[in-house]
Amino acid sequence: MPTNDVLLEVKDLVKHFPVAKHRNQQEKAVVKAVDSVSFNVHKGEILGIVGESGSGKSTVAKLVMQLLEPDEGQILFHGNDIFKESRKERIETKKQVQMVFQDPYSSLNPRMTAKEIVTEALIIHKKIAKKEVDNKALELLEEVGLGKQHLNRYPHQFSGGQRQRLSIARALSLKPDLIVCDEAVSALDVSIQAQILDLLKQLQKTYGIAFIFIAHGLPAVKQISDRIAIMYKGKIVEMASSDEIFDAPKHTYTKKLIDAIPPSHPKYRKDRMVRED
Amino acid sequence: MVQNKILQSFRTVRSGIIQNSSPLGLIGLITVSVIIILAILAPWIVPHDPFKIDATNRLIPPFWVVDGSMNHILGTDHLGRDILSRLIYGGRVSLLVGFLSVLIAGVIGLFLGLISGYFGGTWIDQFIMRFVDAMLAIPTLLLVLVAIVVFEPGIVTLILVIGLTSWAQYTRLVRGEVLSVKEREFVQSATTLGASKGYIIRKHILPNVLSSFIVVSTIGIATAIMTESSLSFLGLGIQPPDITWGGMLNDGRNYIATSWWIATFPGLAITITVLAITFLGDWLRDILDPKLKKGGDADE
Amino acid sequence: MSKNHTGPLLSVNHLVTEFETRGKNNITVVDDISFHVNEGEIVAIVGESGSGKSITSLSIMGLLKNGGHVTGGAILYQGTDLLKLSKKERRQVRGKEMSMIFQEPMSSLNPMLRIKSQIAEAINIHQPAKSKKQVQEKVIDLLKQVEIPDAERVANRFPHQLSGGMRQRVMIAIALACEPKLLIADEPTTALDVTTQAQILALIKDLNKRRGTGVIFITHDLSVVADIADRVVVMYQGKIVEEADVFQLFDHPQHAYTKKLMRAMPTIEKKAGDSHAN
Repeated sequence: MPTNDVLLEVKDLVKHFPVAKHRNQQEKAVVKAVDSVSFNVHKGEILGIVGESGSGKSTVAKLVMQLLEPDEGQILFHGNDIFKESRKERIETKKQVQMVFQDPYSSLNPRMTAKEIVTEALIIHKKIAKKEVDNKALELLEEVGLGKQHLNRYPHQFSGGQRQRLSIARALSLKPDLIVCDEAVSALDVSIQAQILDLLKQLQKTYGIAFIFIAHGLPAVKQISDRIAIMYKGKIVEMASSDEIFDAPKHTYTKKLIDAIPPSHPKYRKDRMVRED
Repeated sequence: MVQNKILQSFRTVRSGIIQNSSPLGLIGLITVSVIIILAILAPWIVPHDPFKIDATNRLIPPFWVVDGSMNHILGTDHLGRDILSRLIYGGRVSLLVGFLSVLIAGVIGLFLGLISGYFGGTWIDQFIMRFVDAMLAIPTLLLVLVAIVVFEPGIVTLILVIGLTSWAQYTRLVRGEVLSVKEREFVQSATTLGASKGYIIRKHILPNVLSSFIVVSTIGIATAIMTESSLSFLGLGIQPPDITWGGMLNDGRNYIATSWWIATFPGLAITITVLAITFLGDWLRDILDPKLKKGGDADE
Repeated sequence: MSKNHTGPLLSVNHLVTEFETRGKNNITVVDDISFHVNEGEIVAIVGESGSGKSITSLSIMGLLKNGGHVTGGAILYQGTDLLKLSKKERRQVRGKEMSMIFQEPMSSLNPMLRIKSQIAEAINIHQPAKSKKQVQEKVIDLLKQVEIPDAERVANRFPHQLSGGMRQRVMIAIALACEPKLLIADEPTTALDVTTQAQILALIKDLNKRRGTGVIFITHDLSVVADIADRVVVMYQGKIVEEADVFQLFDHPQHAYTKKLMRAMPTIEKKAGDSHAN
């Protein structure tokens, strides 16, 4: 459960991407994918980040994962600036921050079996002896609701939901402090989404793992987040507890997002504006 | 570990044969196997000495033609040598040149392609790709001709020359595949697990580019055999008395009107071998895809 | 098509669709289903991936591929069995009487053609007699109907220059080009942002009301159903397990599978109902 200890601190993060230069432009054109973003993640907390395409939410995830280098700003993990760490320290940080990707079809190597996938990180970091692989793999699979019969299957033999479970098992293998889920349930059927969300919530409770849960819509995030940050065009426009966001949204964009949620019963239908702006 | 992998790939091929009963692939596999076995066993199975000149038995037609004899099933050439025996011996050279030159080209091409693709866009990639462009801009056959004029024509020269002039296409192919595999999320995911560059290339990228590479390589073998035959036909390849299909074609050139069999059979041998290898390549692509491997369906 | 037909716009009776496999046994993907769509009605087909909902729509459109065949039943459009039509007659029904929009608007549009040519193409296939100017006017009119602002400019754009929501609007414009009486929408909002999804749903509702177009809306998301449907068909493993009026379904779900889907739905309104009033 969330505590007051800060696990991850993101300070004034900026990331630009160059865009194709227009003929009559002098300066190099850039898009500010992430424009001065700051937030904290406490130990054992689930922070939801909601934004639509182009909001910069995935870029934030990639920066936290060190897949990209920021142009400005800092990311402190356990109080250390991860972009100033030595090579060795960076590898240590990488072990403690894991990621679950959006697309369960491309995030697993099609030529590796489930067993190989979930134990890969342990083998890379030499944390496991060859003969323990089977037991450890089974342990990890069972942790996410899969079983012995799945050990030697290839990704294509699993359904979308099961593949996301495999991704989660892989992320769990190094016992991380933080897992970043980038649209981890967006590609799944609604009923499967609920199962995966339950699983994540359970892992948070059991192991005190913190999550950054990124999504393009509010419903999924609301179910599991302790706090929610709303991103719009590279900035965080509102950040509050899950209840506050829904009960008293402040920013117009937040209100618009809430308004866009389809009703849970036909009696809540309303006539919306049609025009795109 | 290695044994396991070999056993695994053997099983893959076996279940591929059982399940994926594509008749063309099977025909290709059987034909290529038969040619390889014949080539290996050549000294023990040929009915006659392929080098032995026999002036009394010149230009005997195949057995089913009038004047043909069962002693020389496919007839004899203008020097009275047994065509069938020469075909079997010629296969040795063709296959040797085909496999070894593709091995050389493949190893170079795969290595450079992996590096070029993984470091896509950097100066290393630029450097390798300009080199590839230069290689591809010069016709292989021309390079081979120059090399043969400079060095002594012979089997080793031919293998080296074909091998060293045809790697560029593999580099191109592998680079392209690497560029696309590299963008898949499982590669990023390995990075977030803390894997090193070498590990990612070896474990995640290589296995996923290998199948298209193998398929193109098999077709490369066929091309190399054609190149060897063309050169030998022109008298620039392997020199007599060594026997090659191309050389046999050349021998039969002057007799095509009167003794058609001298040129026809080596021509057929080349065609059949090249076709069979091509079928084999298509079939390999299918069975190397893990999606077509045996296994249960997804269940939720 | 008889003009004075009185029954439902479309009725599907005991439809069976099978796929050939390499082995001996065919796979039955749609297994003896029956339902109907009245004129001006929105019927949602709900189910998870693999439930057969998309194959049902492709069967109705006659667009089955990869060894799929309708092997039983009838698909009556205004009383005429589509399965008994010749290939040519079937093609005339497609586009003119019924048309379809898909999940991924980018791959459904030709990246090399301007928006106006793609819409004009759809018009020309069924109404070749129109003059060039008439076609142009119709293109702009269609873009306006799908609520695209600045229609003249958008008409000259290429697909990659438009946002996902705009592309889906263009797809709908193409589908409406020949004023079909039935629109089949196969997860048209799944790939879109939530605010864009809301707009597209509103647009489909609006078109349904204004033009009386019957709609079959295929989705895995019950909250989308709650927003748009008049009647709901729930599919599970190739069969229809429940069919009901939308209110009735949400108030009294009958089948265990429907109840399971209901439980999986995130509910927002309970405590935040008033924040919706805007």
